[in-house]
Amino acid sequence: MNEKNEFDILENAESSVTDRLEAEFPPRDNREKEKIFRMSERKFNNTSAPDTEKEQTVSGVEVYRRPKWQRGLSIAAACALVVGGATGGAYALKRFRNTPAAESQLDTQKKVAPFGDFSELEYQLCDYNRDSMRTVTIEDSPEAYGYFELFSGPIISQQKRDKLADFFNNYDYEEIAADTDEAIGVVNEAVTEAETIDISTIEDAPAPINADESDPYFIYCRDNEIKAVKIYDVGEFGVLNYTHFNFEEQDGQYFMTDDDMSVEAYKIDYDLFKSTINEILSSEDEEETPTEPEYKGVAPFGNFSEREYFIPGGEDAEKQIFVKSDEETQITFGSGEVISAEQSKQIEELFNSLEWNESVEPKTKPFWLVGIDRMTFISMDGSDFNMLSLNGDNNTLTWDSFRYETESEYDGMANYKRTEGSARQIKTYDIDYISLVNKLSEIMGRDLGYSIHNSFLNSDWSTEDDRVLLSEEQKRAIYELLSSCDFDQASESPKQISPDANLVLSREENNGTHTLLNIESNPDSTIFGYVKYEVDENGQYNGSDNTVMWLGSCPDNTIEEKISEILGRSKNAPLPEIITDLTTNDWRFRDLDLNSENHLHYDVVDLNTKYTDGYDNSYLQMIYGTDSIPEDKLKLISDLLDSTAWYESDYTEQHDLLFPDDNYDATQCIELSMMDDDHIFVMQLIEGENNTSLRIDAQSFFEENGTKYLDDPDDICLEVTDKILMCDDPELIDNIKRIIAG
Amino acid sequence: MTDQQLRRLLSSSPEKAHRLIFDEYYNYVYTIVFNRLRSLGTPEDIDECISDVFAEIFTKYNSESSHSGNIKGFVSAIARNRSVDTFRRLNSGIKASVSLDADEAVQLSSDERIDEQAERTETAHALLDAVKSLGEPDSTIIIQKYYYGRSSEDIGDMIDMKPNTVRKRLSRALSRLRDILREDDEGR
Repeated sequence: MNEKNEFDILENAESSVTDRLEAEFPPRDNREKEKIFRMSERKFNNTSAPDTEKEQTVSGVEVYRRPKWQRGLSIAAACALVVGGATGGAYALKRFRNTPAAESQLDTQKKVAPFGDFSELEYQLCDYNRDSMRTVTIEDSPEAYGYFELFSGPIISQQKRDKLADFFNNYDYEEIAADTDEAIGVVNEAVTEAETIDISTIEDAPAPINADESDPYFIYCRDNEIKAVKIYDVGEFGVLNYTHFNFEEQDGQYFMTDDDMSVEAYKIDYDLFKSTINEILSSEDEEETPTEPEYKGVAPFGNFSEREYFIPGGEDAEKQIFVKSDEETQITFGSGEVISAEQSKQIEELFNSLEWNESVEPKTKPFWLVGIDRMTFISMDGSDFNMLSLNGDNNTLTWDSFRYETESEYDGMANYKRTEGSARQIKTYDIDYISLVNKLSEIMGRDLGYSIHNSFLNSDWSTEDDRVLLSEEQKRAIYELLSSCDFDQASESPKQISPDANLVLSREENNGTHTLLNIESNPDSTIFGYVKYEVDENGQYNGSDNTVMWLGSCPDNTIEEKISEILGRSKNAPLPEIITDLTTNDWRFRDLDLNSENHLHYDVVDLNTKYTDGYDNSYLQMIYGTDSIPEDKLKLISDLLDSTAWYESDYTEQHDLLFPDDNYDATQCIELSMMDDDHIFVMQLIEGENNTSLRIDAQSFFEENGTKYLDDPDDICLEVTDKILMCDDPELIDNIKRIIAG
Repeated sequence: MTDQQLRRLLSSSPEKAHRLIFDEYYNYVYTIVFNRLRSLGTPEDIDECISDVFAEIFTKYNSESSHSGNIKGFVSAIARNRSVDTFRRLNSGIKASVSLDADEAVQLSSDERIDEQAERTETAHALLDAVKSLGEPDSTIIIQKYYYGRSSEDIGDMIDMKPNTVRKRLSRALSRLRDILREDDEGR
């Protein structure tokens, strides 16, 4: 009963209000729905089905005299029930009169056993020693002991079931006709025998009827449906007894009615059945023992195309689906379109081509790389729930499978839960998430994406040294590269780390702080530092206020180089031909210290040709050095340049030493110059904080009256290369100076 | 599914047809029954009444019945009658249920004064409008809590939210709702 409140106004309302309530604010109370449906059905049956009762009492066979030994009747299966041996025979006698042969409508193309195709139905093998799972009471039985017990049992592998299906489906069954006196006599005899033996041991005695426990007994239980197949020997011939019924759940108890049950019996070759079944069951066991997982080209979760997988939709999907996988957790997703057969086959090929290893301890990515990268396939065939979730953050695929049943279903919403007693299997395998998702995207013909929630990909990163914004492609490539790293977080972070690694990516955060990703190669690893630091009003790092958020390494020492390549800083950019061997020309040396005029030796300049441009205020000056470098030293310098890892960098003004301005912060600079008959070449090396850049200019000249003049600026060919070469060695200039100084 | 199709299904597979009818009209019946019994009945009374309604639907709506056309109207009539029936029984303390046929039910609603009912209906719609304007998930939280009387835990399950969060949202949403209603009132 509800408390009084302002919503009482909605009560006892006109249909315009209730219609609106239903449409806009549905009760969404699904927990009781199934119960109410069963209540309705029961009430309906009570008022409308008097005939059935009559039918029950008329039966000539004492079908309700279910002796207590049935309590001990064991069954297989996670949730199986059922009617055992001889009882089925008794049932058979009654049912034959009322039930037409059920298998008449079976598909004639494929022969299937009357109790269904073993390869398709997950029959389980009864284990008499397992615990009882639940009891199903026969609701309309006049006898107190009308109930069945459900027992758990081992699952039969698909391979085994396939073999059994082969045998069962191809056998010619002869139904024991209801009017065959002989058959009735024989079965009855067997029933009577069973009852007389067993009733003597009534009180809680365990199942004498199961004395022959070696008789295979198969149970299939899905949702509320039970199929039980048992063979037994009645002396003159073998009988295969097939019992089929549905039960209902109410208040945690399980009920069925006699009328729900159909029983069929077939004459079989008992010995053939028993030996064949046992052979299949035991032979397979041997095959199953190998411990090392060998997938033989099939993914551990089976052939992808054999299930109808879909990619779940989001909140805007047509239907929201809730699957309770256990008490605590509920898997929530939107419906999606089943993947086409063709695509499904391609995905299967892809999955089957991979090597699957169960993850021992999936590595997690550092927090700064974590996205919520997931990609999921789900298949729900009415009884089996299978979910393949690919997780980008730890590069795993998790296969979650269990049986499920419907709790409630509406337009736009469905609730399912794991069938009580059915095992939930969760297995996790290592994958390369990104490459897999890329391939899957290709197959599906759409971007299955992984960058939606990814803060790394969604930030504007730039290189710290030259402030070049990374393109989307570059970010993605770097992300993919880093995602494949096997990170190991350092246990103790140093309190301070300065942004001085060779390769530094940075991004500006919303709150004005900067985040740096330092990447530094070690001989056997790459060190990563993820640092936040504050900048002052001028955007300058003041060197003190930083926080190391993450410090760690990965055992791959090529990461820095690979990122440099992604950034177009290939470390093996070739040197321009003109400087590949310095010894072939007369290279001269000049030291330019921009901070000291004294070091600019204008007084000894050989070539100093000026020209004015259209504005009369610019000039071009090429300076030919005066100090020739001896050949042995040139050789050393040449070797040094050769052995340096150069990468190309876009030309930026700060590298333009021809017109150095006040802002230029190079700490030092040297020039090597060389002249042939009509050109002057100048190579400049400029030292930066963490690197050294190299640039070559060439200019043609002409000679007049013993004086050399540079050609008209319109004709000049300036740079020999249109790129600046960079290396990460800030010591290069010092080393060259040392060589020259001898 | 049309009436005709349903009738055909009823004759071939009554259980399937029952299931279809049930799934289709469960919310509808629930809403009607709940609306009538909300402040009087326990959840068990309501469940009982809903199952009575469906049992009656199953019984009366069969393949041979001459009922024509409008299933929803038929369902609605039974749901209203049954809930009034239950309402009376609960109200009077009479345990046994007495069947009411459709004619009596019509009389019952006409008992009420037309103008009063019209105003109530108008207020009810205004309230629903105000709740709607809160937006999701707040409107669901408010309705489930104060109309359907669900616990924060249940609501949390429904909309995948922690009970604590539901409680927090609830108090905020309620004060917002009161603001909206006050404005509405002043605006009139």
